[in-house]
Amino acid sequence: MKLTRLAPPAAALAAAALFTLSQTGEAFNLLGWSLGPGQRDFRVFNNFTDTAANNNQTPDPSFPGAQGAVQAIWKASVEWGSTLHGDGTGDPHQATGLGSGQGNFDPSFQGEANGIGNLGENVHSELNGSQGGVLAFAENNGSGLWRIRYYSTWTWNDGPNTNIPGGHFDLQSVACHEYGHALGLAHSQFNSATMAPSAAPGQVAQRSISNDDSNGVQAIYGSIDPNVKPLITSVAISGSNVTINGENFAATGNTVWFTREDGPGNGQVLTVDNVSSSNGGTLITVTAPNNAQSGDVLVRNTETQGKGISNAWPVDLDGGTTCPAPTTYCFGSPNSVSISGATLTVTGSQDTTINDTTLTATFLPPNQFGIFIYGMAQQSLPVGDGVLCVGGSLIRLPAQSTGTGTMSSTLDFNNLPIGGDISAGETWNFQTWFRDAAGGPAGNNLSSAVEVQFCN
Amino acid sequence: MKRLLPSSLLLAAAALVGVGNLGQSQILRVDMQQMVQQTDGAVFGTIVGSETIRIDHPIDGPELYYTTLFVEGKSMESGETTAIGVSFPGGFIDEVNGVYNSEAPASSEIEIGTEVVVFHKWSDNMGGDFASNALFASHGGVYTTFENAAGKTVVQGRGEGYAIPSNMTLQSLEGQIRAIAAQAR
Repeated sequence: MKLTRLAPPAAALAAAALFTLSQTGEAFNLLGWSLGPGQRDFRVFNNFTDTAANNNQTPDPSFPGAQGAVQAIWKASVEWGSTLHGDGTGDPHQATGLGSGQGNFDPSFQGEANGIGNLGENVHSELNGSQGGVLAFAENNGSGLWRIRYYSTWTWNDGPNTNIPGGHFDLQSVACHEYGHALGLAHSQFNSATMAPSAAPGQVAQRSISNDDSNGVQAIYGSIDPNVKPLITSVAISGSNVTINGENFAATGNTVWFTREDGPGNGQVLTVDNVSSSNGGTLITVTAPNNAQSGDVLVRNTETQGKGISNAWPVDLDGGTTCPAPTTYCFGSPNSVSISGATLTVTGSQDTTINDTTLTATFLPPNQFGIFIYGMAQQSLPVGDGVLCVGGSLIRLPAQSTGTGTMSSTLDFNNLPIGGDISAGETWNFQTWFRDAAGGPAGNNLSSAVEVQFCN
Repeated sequence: MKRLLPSSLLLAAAALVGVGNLGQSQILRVDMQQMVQQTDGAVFGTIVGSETIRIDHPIDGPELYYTTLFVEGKSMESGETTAIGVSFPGGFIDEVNGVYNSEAPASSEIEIGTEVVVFHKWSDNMGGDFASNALFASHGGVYTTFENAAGKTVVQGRGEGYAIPSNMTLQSLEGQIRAIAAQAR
């Protein structure tokens, strides 16, 4: 018989044994499995059908980028953490803050999933149907691969306030309970515990783990070792640079965990590896990966077990300068190949840290040469056979051939011409100058012009 | 020192295991009245078989496992002989294929040959378009029994928050169910 088949009976025996200890104040029960360091991630497939499950569209700075059911489940998960999640705000039910129960299991929010997923993809989702009397359940294969389902027959409410209508079930409360199962906790005999077996509509008390719940999860994952466990105390963001202050960071070899961007990912944590700290293990500066999204950041030091994983701290990577789409503000004049004139488009990211803003000019006369020019001002000045629409100090990129009638250049923000450095928050204007001997008396012309705001 | 009778020890052991084998779910908190009102009925009988199936559903997801217990006995409401299959999510088809479901009854509660009281409610879709008599509230809908020293069948309570919070005789439970059903139906 496989060990996994033995786990529940073993858990039952443990439960029976623990029951004998209930006189001393412990009532938690264990299921017999635990999640390894690679199973800290969780995601939400937001297929919840109730309006009430997604009508909280108020952004919460402690849960950046998440609203509705996603935000409620994120809150439920960090309640099991080792300390406050950020400043602990986000749940009016808990005056002491989310994470104040110090359960010492710090999860890694990995954004939304695009499907229910298999066991081990660690996804919360709604399940169509009903099994009378069952609100939700966690599934586990016995070795830590899990998934959580919420029956659609109930009306799920995303809060965040505590006045949940009587006919609704508080998603945050039930998610907190079910996540406890995913962590390896069975039901508690304490009626006031989050892991108490049953719940009533409108109830929010199970949002907050009790001492019994905390003792239970620490029985699985160990208590907090203040000499070993990394602790994040604050995070500052400047562009894509993330500065993490805290304690117990390794001198070298830290791994910084970020929330992966949406998509069909497998829930694997997005990491920056081999990060060094400074100031005696209290400071880490790291560049967020391009595909990191707002979420949580965690630091794992060189301890091999879960005790080397820090608390989760929210980071708003989208909170920088907003970046509207590029705008064409001036059109090209007729040339030898197009009565509408040459067209300039700007594609790629406007995030200066990503470094892939690309200029492309089309409807150019072939086999000529052209130059991309840019400046911070706009004007409308006849030049050659066209109109110069870029003003101020004009910056020129290297000349290139128009080839078959198109030319393109990707801006290298680290190697722009003197005087032409581009920073986040700035707005620049771009245009293409090109030779066109057959196009008019002057023999040169200009494309349309595009205004581009840059951000990070 | 008072000497414990063997039967007392058995009772204590049964109570201990009963608590220790709690299922692992979040279920609706119901008392007996609500349980009877919200279910189609209850059966006292013996588990004579079980079957686990797997459904991979295009919308509801892959790896949906359901276990059906086949119980032969009598209706708690009418006393008539009956046989029923009651289903819950989770279970294993074999050593490898299956899943532990947080709401499923403990394996020791649903072994073949076990005498139980089960509460059931028909569901057109328990997920993955699986239709069956649902074991209402999953582990909260199955209660094991034992015979006490007086030879009476006792239904084991599960504690606060369950429809049967503490041990009671089968006869007493039958009386309660019939009285509530008579009012409700």
